[in-house]
Amino acid sequence: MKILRDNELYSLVVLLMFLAVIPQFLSTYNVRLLSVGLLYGLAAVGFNILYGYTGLISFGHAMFWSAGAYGLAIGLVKLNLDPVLSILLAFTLTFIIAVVTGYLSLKHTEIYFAMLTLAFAQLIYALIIKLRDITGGDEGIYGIPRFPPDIEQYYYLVYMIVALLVLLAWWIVRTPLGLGFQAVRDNPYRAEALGMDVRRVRLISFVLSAFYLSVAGILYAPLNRAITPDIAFWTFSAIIVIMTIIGGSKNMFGAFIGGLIFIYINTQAMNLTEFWQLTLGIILALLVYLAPYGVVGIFDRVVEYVRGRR
Amino acid sequence: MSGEGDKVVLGGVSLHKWFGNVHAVNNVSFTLSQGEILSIVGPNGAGKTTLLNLVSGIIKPDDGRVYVYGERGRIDITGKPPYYITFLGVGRSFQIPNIFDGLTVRDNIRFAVLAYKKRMTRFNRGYGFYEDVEEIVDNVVNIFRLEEVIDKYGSELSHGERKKLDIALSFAQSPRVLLLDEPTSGLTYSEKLEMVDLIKSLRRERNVSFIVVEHDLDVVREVSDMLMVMYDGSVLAYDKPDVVIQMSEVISAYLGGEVL
Repeated sequence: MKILRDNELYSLVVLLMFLAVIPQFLSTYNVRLLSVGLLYGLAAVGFNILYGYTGLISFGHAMFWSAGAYGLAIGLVKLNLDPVLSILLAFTLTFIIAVVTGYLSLKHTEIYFAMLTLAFAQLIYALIIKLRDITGGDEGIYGIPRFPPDIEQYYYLVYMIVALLVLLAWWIVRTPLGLGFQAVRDNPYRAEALGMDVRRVRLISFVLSAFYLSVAGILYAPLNRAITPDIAFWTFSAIIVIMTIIGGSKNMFGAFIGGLIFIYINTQAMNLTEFWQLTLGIILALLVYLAPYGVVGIFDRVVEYVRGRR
Repeated sequence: MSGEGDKVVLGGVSLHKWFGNVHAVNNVSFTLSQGEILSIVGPNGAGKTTLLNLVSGIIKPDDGRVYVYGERGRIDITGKPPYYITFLGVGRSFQIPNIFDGLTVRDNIRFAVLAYKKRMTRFNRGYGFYEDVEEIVDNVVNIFRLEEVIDKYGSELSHGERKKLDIALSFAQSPRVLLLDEPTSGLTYSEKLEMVDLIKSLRRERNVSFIVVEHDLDVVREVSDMLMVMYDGSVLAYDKPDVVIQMSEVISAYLGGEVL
């Protein structure tokens, strides 16, 4: 695990440079897909603040993606607010949900925490379905305006925000606060004995990761022009967990690339066969067996192998 | 170093702890002066670690009090949470090293300093790795001779290095008292010598007081100012080491050689 651990920033910058150039060579369809990939990557990075760095696994992070997406869509379409106010609405919604569900879920850890987040997320899903007047119910919200409307220009807007936030995440986990996250992950009892308020640090991590998911949701709604309640359903929370694990949760580069890879595997599987979920399942199972540290772990092993042969 | 008239820093009065029907700690009292090293010996299950847990707040006593004596006079810490006791200057190391495996040695110690200075989440107190933090970290690394492993992760350390780091974490928080649970268990001979030197130099140069739970009698003889023998939760002897070791021969005979 050493090569990427020691060169994480370098790897991130190279990947981001690649992502800045690549749309020039892609069709509009693929640029759109890659935009979603960036947002999945951002979501995985945000989720990894909580999972990889603070040691808490949430099965309810879809609720924050939806809070962002629905907050923005309700503001723009249903309330006819201007974009800034709509974004503020989305953030406020996310913040309230994150603080309340985080405070309540963090009374427990491990699987009990995971189950509580799942329960809260399903509650939000039920609300979205039932509050038909505000959320559009099963049908969701259509006609969300996109600015800039051109998909390639929109890609670069997404790209800039994602690049900034991913690098910010890389930095945050290296600050004292990030050190606190990791200490809580490794040994919460000792961290507490050394004088840290463990629950407070866990809540900060939870809210911070919710913010990342919310930004991804806010950027996703205009990209897709429409949103439906399936972004709040628990299967989407599972996807967020899965792509983080695919990429590798040991660092932010792994998580980010996990989001991009997931989109690619998912689309390829869908194009190749109608049994795409089966294909996806097999690929995921193989990855977990062969690469417990994710794709990044494979890369490290290959590099170590090649170096060892020289 | 110790002796009459020294400033008392920590005291336990008639401490009791039951686990079900087992009287794990039975009426134990002690006082610890500034710069004093009190060793506790006794067979497994004598209640030594339980006594440390009572003092450091990990478990609450069923009866009795624990006091810290500081500039603000006597403070009752009985049953207070561990972090509160830490902030009053009583640090603790563990029998099985209790460190952060996913952090480097430097970050382990940084964490301890930042937690102590409450810099982790209180943004208004100044944020970041300031020089004062790094200075303390360098100092601790230097004292504990961890320079060579400073960039290694906790999970990559040897048992002896983990032991040292465990104590270093508590020491980084400027404690007046350190409670050490079997600091030399599992160490090689030379590591043991190093640990003894370390304990003595911390006492000499930083005036730190110690309560040391220890099995190795050579270590005990080398470092202790006072020695307590525990058996079945009770104190069998509590005096200067020479006196106790003479007595202990009597006690050993009495208990069939089981005590030391």
